[in-house]
Amino acid sequence: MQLHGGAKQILYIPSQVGENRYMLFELICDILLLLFFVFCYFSIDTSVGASQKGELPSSAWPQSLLLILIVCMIISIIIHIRKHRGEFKTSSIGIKNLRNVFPLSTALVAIMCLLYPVGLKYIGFLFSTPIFMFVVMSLMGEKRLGLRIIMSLLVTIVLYVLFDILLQVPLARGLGVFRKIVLAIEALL
Amino acid sequence: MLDILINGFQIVFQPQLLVLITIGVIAGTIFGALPGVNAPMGVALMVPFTYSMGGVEGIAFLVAVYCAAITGGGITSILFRIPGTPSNAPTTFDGYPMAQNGKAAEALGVSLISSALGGTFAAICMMLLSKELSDVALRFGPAELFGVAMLGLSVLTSLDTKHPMKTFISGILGLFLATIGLDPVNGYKRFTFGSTYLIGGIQMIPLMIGVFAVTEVLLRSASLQIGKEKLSDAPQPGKTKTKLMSFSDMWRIKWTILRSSIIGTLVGILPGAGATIASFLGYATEVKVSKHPEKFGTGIIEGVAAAETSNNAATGGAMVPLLALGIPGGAAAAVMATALMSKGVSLGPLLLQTQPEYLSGTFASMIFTNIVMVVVAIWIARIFSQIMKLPYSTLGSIILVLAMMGSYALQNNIQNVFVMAISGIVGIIFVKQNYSPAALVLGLVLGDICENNLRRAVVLANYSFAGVISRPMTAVLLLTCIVLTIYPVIKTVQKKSKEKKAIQQ
Repeated sequence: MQLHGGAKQILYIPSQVGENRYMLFELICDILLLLFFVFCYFSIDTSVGASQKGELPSSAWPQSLLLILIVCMIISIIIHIRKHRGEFKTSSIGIKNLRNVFPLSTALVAIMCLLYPVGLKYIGFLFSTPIFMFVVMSLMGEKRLGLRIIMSLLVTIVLYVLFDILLQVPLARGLGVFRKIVLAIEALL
Repeated sequence: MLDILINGFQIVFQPQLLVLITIGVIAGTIFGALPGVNAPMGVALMVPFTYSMGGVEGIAFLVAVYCAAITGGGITSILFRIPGTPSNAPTTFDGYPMAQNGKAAEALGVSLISSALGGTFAAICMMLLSKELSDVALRFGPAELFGVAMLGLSVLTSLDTKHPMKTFISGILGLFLATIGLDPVNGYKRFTFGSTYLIGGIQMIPLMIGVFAVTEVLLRSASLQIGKEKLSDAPQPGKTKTKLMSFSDMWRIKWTILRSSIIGTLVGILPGAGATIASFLGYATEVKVSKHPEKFGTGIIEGVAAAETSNNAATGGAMVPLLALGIPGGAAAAVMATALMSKGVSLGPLLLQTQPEYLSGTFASMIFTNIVMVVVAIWIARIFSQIMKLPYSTLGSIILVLAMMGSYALQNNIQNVFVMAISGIVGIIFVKQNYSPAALVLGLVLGDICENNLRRAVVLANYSFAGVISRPMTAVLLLTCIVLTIYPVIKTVQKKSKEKKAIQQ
């Protein structure tokens, strides 16, 4: 049973292209994850949470899970190394290889996803959403300027009406002058 | 019993109530389809409208919103891989691949019909066995609920048979992520690292939207860019008209619907369990009993039917402890309880004697809601499916904005949007490394229930862990869980060794 959706076949073409090059990156990620689990295991205060003798302390459940995770990660890393022994010599994680898996435009879309909440905070929903839509559509290869502008504005208006007006979910208004503009628009509505 | 049924339909079949139920279904389906607006939130938003209604009208209206919200969530799960409510997460496993294979119409049809069948089954069970089901619910203490949650986890090893270890790690990681924040029993901070946001724990909905929807958009964007294909010209999953399930298809999955209906109803009556666990458990059961478990997740109607039948059956199940015992089993039921109590309704064992019209009205309105729901949801699905005709550069952007809004609207919190964006980006590495986002979400959903009930059970068993696992029902549930967890692993190992031998020969 595979749960990566129907696009799985397309998705795995890039990683198959650089299969042995990608495995080193995979190993590094696994080791980092293992270190994170070890750090979490030792960072929790084991003295808290057990007020009665025999009661499970606060740390018992997460530490048990972390222990399982650490053991499983070690096994997984060993399996990975044994399976690809000898192939690591030809493996590298150069930028070029990563670009084969994750092209620049997609990386920029990911960065936009991280910038959008920042935009929400400072310039508010009404300004950050059309900018986000416009830039993401451009990065995704949409060439038609008119469509980009119309869709950006349309989606913003539809979502504003739906969430802010109909569902009474107060959307982010931003700070400073942006907040004043949004308040003025809301007063008009 | 027949009196209750006749009385119920007499109450429901009044023009005013029929109109109210229809409005409730429309509102509920739209709420469900909007990411970030979950079923309890939808019900809560509609409570003020019940102030001017009578008691029976009020509960019928809220029941309509509740049932329809669970169904509406399936629409975006299938079309965009955004689960409208957490209980629709398993619908994405097969619904989205079906949509990608040009079978969106079929998937939507299966989702709506199976939802209606599950909901109707639960309503009938509620009518016939309300008292008996309540007694069963009362026998389920924290130890048994821990067993049920563990049973839900047993699906982990079946979610991806090609990478069982990584899927198992994903599930346990989900359980671990659920421990971040305040300890559910004593309120101690865990893994908050000084962050005030993390005190409240990692929110399930933003994480789920991130790893499902955002990861998918980014991966699809990447694969299309690498494939030198123009995103704006990328083929869309074809016409998305909603068509009802054919009778032959329905007959083919009759046992799936029956099993999922029973599971959904039973899980629904358990306090604290709810539609999300029901849908995961329903899906897991179908994977386990299927002769072709490897086909699940590739886009088959059994997967969609199992998830949607069980989550809708759970809505009916949740009404049993609410009306018969006065115990709200979940957040939506709790909102309904407050609305009813404000009308002077005394929920509990005396309801049938003192105010029988509430019981019969709820049963009948649930059945009617499930019938109306099919018509209304088809109509709403058609509107949503229009978006599918857009080029992927536009569709992908809309999905991203919807995902952002869904995460924000949950608590009006910008940090939830960050969590969603980070989850989406980390999700790419996760998927590329063959970890399972579905298992991660399953762990996150069940994490709190597992720990909370285990610790409460240990306290109730006089601080004895042995006392917890030796309770007959818990022992049976845990043993079943162990067998179901180990069996697929053994099966995979056997298959691999057979293949090895064949190659050697």
